[in-house]
Amino acid sequence: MELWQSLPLVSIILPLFSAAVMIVLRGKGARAFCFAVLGGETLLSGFFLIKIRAFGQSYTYPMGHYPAPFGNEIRAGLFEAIALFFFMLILLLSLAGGLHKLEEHVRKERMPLYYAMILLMTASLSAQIFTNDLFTSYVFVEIMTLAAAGLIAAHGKGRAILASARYMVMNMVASSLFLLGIVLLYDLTGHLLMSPIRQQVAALAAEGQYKLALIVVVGLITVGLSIKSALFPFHSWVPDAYGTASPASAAIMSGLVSHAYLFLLMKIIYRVFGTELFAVTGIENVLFVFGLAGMLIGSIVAILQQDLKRMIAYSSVAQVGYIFMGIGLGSRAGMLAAAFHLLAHAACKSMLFITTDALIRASGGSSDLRDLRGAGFRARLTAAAFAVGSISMVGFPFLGGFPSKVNFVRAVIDIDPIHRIPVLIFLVLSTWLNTLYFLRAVISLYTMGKQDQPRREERVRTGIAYALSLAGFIALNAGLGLFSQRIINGLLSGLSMFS
Amino acid sequence: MPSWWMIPTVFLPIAGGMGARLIPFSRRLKQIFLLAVITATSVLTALQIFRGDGNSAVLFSVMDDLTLVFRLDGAGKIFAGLLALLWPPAMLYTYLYMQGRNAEGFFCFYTMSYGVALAIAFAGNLFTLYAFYECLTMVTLPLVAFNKDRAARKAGQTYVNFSITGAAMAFVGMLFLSHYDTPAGFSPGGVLDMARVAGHEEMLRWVFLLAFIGFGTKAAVFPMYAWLPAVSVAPTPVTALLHAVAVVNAGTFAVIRMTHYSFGAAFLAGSVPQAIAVCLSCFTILFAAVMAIRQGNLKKRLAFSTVSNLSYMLLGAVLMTPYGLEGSFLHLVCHSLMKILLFWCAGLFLIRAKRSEIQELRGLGRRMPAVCAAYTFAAAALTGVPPMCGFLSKWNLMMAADQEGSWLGILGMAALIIAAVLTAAYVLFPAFLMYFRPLEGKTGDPEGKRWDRSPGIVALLVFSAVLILAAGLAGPRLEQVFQTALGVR
Amino acid sequence: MVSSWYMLIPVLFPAAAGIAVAAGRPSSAVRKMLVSCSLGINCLLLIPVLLSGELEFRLFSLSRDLPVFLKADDTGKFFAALMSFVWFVVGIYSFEYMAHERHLDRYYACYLMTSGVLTALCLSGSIITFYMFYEMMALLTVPLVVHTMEKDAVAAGIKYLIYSILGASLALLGIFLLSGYVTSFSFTPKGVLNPETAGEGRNTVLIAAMMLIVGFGTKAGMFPLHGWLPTAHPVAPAPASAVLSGIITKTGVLGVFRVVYELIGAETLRGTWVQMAFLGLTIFTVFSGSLLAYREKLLKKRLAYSSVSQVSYVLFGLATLTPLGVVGALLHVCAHSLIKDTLFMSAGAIIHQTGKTRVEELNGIGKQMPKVMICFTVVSLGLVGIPPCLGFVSKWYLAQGSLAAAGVPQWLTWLGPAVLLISALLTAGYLLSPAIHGFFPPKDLPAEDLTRREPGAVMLVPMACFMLLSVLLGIFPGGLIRLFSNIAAAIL
Repeated sequence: MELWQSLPLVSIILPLFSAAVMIVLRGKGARAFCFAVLGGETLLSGFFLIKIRAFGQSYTYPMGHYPAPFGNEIRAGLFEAIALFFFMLILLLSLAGGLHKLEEHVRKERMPLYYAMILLMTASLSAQIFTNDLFTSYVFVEIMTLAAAGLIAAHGKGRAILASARYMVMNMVASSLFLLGIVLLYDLTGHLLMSPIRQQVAALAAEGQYKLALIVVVGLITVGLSIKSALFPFHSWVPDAYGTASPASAAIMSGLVSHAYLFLLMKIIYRVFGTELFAVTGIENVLFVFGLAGMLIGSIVAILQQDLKRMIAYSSVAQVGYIFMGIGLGSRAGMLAAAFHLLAHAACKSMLFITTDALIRASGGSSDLRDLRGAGFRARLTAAAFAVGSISMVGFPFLGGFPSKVNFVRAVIDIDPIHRIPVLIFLVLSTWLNTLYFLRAVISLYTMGKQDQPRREERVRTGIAYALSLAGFIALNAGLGLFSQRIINGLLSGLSMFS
Repeated sequence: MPSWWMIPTVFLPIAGGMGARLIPFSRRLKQIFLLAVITATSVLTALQIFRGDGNSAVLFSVMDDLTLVFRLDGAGKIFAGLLALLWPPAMLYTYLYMQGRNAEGFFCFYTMSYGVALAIAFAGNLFTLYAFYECLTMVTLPLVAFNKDRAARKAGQTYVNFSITGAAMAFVGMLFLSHYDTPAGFSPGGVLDMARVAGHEEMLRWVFLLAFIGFGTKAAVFPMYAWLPAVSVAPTPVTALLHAVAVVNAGTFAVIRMTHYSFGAAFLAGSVPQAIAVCLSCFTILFAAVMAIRQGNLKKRLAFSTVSNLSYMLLGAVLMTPYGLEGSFLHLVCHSLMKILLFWCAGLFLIRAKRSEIQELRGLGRRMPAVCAAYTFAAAALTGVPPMCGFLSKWNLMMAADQEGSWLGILGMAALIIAAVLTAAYVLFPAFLMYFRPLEGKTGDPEGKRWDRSPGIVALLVFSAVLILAAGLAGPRLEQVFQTALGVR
Repeated sequence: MVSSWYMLIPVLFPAAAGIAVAAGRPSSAVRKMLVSCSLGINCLLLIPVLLSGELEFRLFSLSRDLPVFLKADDTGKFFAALMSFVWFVVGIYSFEYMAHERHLDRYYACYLMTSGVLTALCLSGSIITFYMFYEMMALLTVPLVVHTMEKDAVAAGIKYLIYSILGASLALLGIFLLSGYVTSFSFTPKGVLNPETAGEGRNTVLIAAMMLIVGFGTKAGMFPLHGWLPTAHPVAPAPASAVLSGIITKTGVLGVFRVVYELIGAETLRGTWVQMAFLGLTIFTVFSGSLLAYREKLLKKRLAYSSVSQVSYVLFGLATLTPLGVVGALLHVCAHSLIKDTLFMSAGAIIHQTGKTRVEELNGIGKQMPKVMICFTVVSLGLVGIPPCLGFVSKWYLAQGSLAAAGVPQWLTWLGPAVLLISALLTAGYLLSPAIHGFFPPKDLPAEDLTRREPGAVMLVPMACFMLLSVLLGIFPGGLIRLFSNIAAAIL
């Protein structure tokens, strides 16, 4: 066991302890410490990515030297490494970009608490990515849920608290379902580690025993995680949560939190149930249908929104629908499309949320879309970033959304018409709908209402961290668009070693 | 001239436009600079057309089998030649038109659009064409919404909604093709790998129809036509060059590339999707002509006329015959020459006489003789009066429809004939009003007897009229050149 | 006698003169001189063309197989000479008539340019050339119709334009349909059908023929596309009405002639439904035109309906597909041009001098303008068909041609002359009646209606010229008959 192979564990423990340390820090020190940890985590994950790529296969890392199936376990492969690295980048950029607004929203003495939440979230993210144990995953799912609730409520105002409460309620229900599923599964198989469970489940399915039970288990776990990742029709907590939270929080929530759960779901499908069982239970088709529905309905409702942040929030619902559609296809190509979209969407959506801060300021403090007119001239970099994000959403070439759409189409070219035709139709429809609301907003930015031309003094001032963050995001999106093949190849080989 | 020169030819105007935006020159200097950039690009394009070595120039790969490649074949040469010919005078018109307005961003995006349009002409495979097709929407969007008022916003939104939805459909078609093709890029008989296609022919033909409507969005085929009349609120230089020449021709060009050079005419001929495509084209021809008659605003009327004429070209393309292909390209070129002159006149009516509605054009024949004469000339040409070039392209399209042989050809002929009569009605009637009705004065009318006394304007109008006449007189020569270029007969 | 390129001269010279008038905006006197000289010189310039043998000059090609070229054959020379001469004489007339009108630059510019285009039309060597100049002529003559710019003139102009375009489009469609079945588009006596393909495509050829006949027949005022004529001719100024009725309608006739005899060929059409339909339409137009003229109360409109009827005489003669019919048709072309122009010029003189437009107001007009009314009456007699005027000779040949028509049912060949006869009676009614009332008014006419108001020589001389010519040619028709017989022999 080489040294670098311990990095996954480090990536969980480091932020966990740092969160504890954060309680005693104050002010600028807290901020510096948080960024240092996050930066360090990002570098570590990058380093790990390089190493595991060279390594060429996944490996398991028994915790505490207790062998399976008794102890806890970590499993790391290329897919996990890619995911972690990207998520860390996005987390870092989101926090840097939204910092200014955060410091407005959150009371000074509460900031260290906020940073602690972020660090907990990081730990939880790592854990969900790397863990090979179901119960551990549950624990960290809960931690992440609590941390996220904290992020939402950090705003302190009434609506945010309400949104946070609503978020908690729905997520608690989801967690309960998830836990119930795990318990049942434990009962059926006697294991909590994923690989042994898989063997047992396969054996049970082969024998034909406990057919209904297995379906129920799969259903519970899937529904639980789907609620948490805002699959239609379980998305009702999203608009309030993302819409009222601070931009950084919203960015992190939509870009990371729901995606972490999605990652976990994919892992469970591959490593606990196995794709064949998943297909047989029919849950796959259910996800497919709900994914398609989410794509459409999320966008339709987004068109009707008057508030900028809520519009983007509903867009998230739609985009998560894409991912579920990809999972619901059941094929390797479908999973690949879903996995790539996981990364691309995170990169894009976080950027969009970060831009809302300056855009709202440029509109005189209003987040109403009608007041957005002309804001493009008062906040140039922000509007440019928003435009880049928007066109990436509709699949403009050279940005992250394009390879994502290519993957989806390619996933269905050769399969049966029952899956192919709805996917193609919904993809086209979804592009149209996305254009309707995103590009409407972009054009609004650069055209006037009844007001006069913007004057130089009215330019919105943003800090250097913000500018760097946006630049970083744009670069990330462009990189995803221009160098997608490498990432796709990595994801493919990562998926092949995923189970 | 080595083929890699195509890359700087494309990026020169793009870089030049961006540079002029960011570097703070004086206004005059910027104008001269951009004009020089455009002229240089035209010269480079001409060199590439006449002296190019016909090889491919690879830019880079976005994904493993989606590579950006330039390669100039006969069809591309025709389109590129048309762009190179018309962009410099169009820029001059823009300068004349936008005098007195703060239009720096306008000139820059106008220049950048040239590069993107050229890239479409130079595209060596369908992915390259698609990528720059999307870019064209984005780079022309600021031009459409330039006035920045409410109407501009609506126009921009309509434009982008239709364009991107169409591009999404085209996207699906492109990906299907990339799955089933040989790596050739474009070839006159299509590039499908028939071994791999076996068993999926029907599906691919329906995908063709989807891509036809998708790429055809920029060519304003029904039902994706509504953006073209909507963007007529944009400044006239935009409607004249982009929405009568560059953007819409890019759409037609894309449809032709997809039909003849990717799927292949033989593969598509005789199928139900082809029949639907022909019916859509014929319907658009007639529908748009009828709508044109009902428009009271001159630019909107010309916009619907463009919609109708674009479907002439699409009809030629989807007849799936060599003659149809030739007729399609002939009309592409001839229509551009005629329509750009018509729009130039419309723009001059707007800025010199402040008149935009057709009923307001009464009696302008005395006050703006040069412009009215040019309008009448171009209108006669569009109607198909020989010896101007309108007759040439319509005759060829009729011949192509006749020789196609099946009921599709007959349908096409019927549509062309009825549309010819309708065209005369909607485009000649304003000319009638200009000359045979008394002028109705308005507040704000310029002083003096002549309102279009400007050597620049007259020079541009004469230049365009001469082109129209020359193209008509040189008809057989033009046909020959196109036939050789397209590999027809 | 001259080389082929010379044919361009009588085409370009008047066109250049027209452009000079439009651009130069000369004063009234200069303009009159310019116009009269140009038209006169134009006639002279045409003479070398008339005296040469067959000339052929190629201009350019519109498409691969669509050459545009001029060719001077007998028919073309005759029509060109007639048109140029009439254009000249009516031009002189127009100086006094139009003296008080506005926008004369535009009028004379179009007038001159049309003359050039007409020459080109007559000398066209192929149907494509013909079509091209036909379209040009349609556009150039619109300003003549619309000249007064009053509401009904403008409406009439629009109607004229619409019908012209419809007719031209129909003709173009016919050309297009034929394109697969002809060896070339050049006018060749007896037709240019490709014997191999024309056999199978016979139906298409016949349909194309009908389209071409109806399409070009629009300008000639043949039913069913005659509706523009009664609207347009009255509202135009009298000189314009004169040339519209007298000359422009003949371009349609020329078109039909070329198509039937030198493109498709008489033999192909003989005995077919096309010939029957053609005969039927022309007979119907002859009859109904006369009837409508008889009932019409406005003088100029009456003359317009008369034109509708008379030009269909010509077309009827062409439809018989016999040498006699052709001769009769061409004779009537000449006769009607001269006669109808005189009639319109008289009507114009009446309007100009007295302002009277309705027939019932014309009582006693013979006492006021005896010279004008003499011209009116003499040519009316010719139009009715009373010897020795040219009108009689032409009708005689037409009747004979009808009787000699082969391949059509007997009753039709008899119907022709019968209708001609009835029409002659109606013609007498609608033309001679005003003449008689003009010279012999009722006794109770107020005195001022009897004062003399003769127009000036500038208006009288042209009228008298045509009148004399029509009588002379009626007495000595030999030269014309010989010319036309040669033409007919070549094409049948």
